[in-house]
Amino acid sequence: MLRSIDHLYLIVSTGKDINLQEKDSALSSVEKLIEFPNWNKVIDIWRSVSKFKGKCFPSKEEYLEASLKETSLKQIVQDLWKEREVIEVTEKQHVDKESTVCGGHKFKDKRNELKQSIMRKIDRKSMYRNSDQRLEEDKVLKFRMTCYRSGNHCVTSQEVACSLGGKLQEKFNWIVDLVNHDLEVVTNIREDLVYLGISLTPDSLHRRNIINFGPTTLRATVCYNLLRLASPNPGDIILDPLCGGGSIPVEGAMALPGCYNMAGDIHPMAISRAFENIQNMRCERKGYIDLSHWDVTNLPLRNACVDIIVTDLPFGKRSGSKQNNQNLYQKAMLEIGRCIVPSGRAVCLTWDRANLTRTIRAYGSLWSIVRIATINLGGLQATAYVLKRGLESLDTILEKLQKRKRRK
Amino acid sequence: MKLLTHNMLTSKCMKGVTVGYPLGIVAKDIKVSETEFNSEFVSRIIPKLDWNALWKAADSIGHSGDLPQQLMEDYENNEEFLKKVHHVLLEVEIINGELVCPESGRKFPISQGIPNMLLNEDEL
Repeated sequence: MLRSIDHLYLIVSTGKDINLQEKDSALSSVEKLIEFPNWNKVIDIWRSVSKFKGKCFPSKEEYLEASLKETSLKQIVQDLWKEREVIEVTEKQHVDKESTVCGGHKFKDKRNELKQSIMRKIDRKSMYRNSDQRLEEDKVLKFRMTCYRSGNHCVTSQEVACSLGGKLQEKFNWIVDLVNHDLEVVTNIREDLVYLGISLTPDSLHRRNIINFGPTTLRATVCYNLLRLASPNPGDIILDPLCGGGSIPVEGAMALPGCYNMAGDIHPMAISRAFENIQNMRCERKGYIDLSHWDVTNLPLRNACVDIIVTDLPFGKRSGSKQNNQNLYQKAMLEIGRCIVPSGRAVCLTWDRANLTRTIRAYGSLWSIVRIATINLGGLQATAYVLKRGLESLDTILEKLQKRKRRK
Repeated sequence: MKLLTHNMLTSKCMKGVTVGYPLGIVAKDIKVSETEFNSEFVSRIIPKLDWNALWKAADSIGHSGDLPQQLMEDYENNEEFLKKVHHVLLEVEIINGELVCPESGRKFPISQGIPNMLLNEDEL
């Protein structure tokens, strides 16, 4: 169950019916929330999860000393980064020259950009860590106050974050660091309900499985939930015939003991991404996933050989297009209807609802819709259809459809 | 490619092929790795397999060991047997080689453990 969440917070203080319509009183009411928690206990819990060994309740002097150290460390990292940027620019010029000479095409892949920006963040963090020669016990806790707010209020989330963050800093002599913090304190304001929490997960858990991101990579947490919608049982064979980077089958192999995950795609780039992501998995579970290079419209699989299908159908926005989608969906839903056992469950995620529902209706009793779930994927409203394969054989179903057509 | 996957693969998607199963295996590189044993998984997957095809495939690459050619009764409680099946299904991987269609002789290459089942225009 825990594989379906992105972040975990420990709620330390809650305020109901707080008046947030008048600025000064609003801020002071919210600030009062800091008085309630037993901070010793809260920090103890956080320490046992985060394994932080430094000073959680430093004196003013310790704080000042650590602040000076932070400033000098930041300067060192800045200088190192500048050096590295110079090298990168020279290298890029070299590569650009080469590609124009060879007449080759420049590789403008958004995927590469995203990968690079993630790598850069990791590099800066590791530069910081390597330059910091202090013992863990001598470091002072660094924190960040984040505020999330929804509703009509007279204060902005930044104002709340600043005000509360300031109060915490005064109270505990913690160092403020928005990027390289140890502890994140979160204030969540929903209408007139406010709660204060501390984050127990340093990074969103959704990136846990994938190291090689593609243009449409799904969060591991979404994948887990899609798999759950299919109600898998031990001994089930789960198929993803349009696996892309393999997010769904990788999550299946990691999270569902006793199921076998078959993945496949048509694009060579997707295959190489999926291959890399599988290689990156923990050894003991790699046996439960297998990758093939195939065309979903013509699957090299026997009739009724898989129990479950979970897949992310092309959206038409980022890969494929609406016309291609109609043709693809028609052929794909027929093929997976052939390969799945009677009464088998298929979970299909799509943004192109019209195409999918049209296809399902066109195939008569082949598929019935069991459940529809909407998911917000980075602003796009996607829908997961949980389908059940009918009991009759494919030939019978197609015959019936032919008869229906002839009558018309 | 694991032998469990091979048990599901067919070349019937090709034009002119009526059965296309089971596919022959030509193995150039085989990798044997350890994977977590799950007895419930193995005992539930056995009825879904074509046992004959599995045995033949394992035998053709020299990894059938002492796996029986005929499926015995009451295998669910035979842990030793289940472990042997587990080994053949999940722990033996064809890394490089070919799959061969039994009717047309068409070869499907396997590289880096991934079989390429894409057809040419004229085979559809």
